Amino acid sequence: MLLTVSLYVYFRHLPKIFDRYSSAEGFLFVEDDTVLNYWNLLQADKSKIWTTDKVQHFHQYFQLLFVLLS
Amino acid sequence: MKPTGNSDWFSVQAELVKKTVSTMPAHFQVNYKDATKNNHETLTVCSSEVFYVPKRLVTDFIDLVDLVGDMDLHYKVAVPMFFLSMDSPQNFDPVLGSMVYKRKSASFNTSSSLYSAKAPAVHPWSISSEQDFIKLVQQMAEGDPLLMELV
Repeated sequence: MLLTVSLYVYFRHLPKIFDRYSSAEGFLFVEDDTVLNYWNLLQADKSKIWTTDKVQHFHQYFQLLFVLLS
Repeated sequence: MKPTGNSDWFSVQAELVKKTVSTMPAHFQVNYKDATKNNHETLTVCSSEVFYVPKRLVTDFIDLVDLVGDMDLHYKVAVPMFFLSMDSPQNFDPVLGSMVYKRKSASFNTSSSLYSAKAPAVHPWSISSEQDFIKLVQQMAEGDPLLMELV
């Protein structure tokens, strides 16, 4: 089962969603200002984490880490 | 989220990550430290507009949320910390790596030129009218022709 909810449901509330849909194969979270082209996700491995390497915030004193998909 | 350039905010978040990691069970710590071994002094911030958690890692995710507890850790810091603790980045599926991504800006408007049906996801996007919605669905129909039946 694929579940799509707004990411603005803060991460502390996610365990409640996991419990509510305990038979789900996995959980896909999408912010409401993001378009999901679901037809391009069919080949993805549903037993693995999917995430982006998009880092939104940067500060000159911190070298941010772009490791998520490296 | 505090404005970009707020060093205090980054310092506090980095400290909270350090504190959380120190309380993690050993297997989480091993994963996290291995993933960040060459970047001890950095803070991982991922915009997390879209992500997927497989069922096999749901229990780990819940355990990590419990570890954070009431700490004021922002989800754009917490979620990547969870992922790096749960599994090695080498095991992540790269499907979202080619998403279309553009930073939001004051001048941002709905732009049909940003959209691509070939990408797994497109960010940002906003719909302000029925016309916008119809236009988007028509563009998406390149990927899923059945969508044309909606408009």
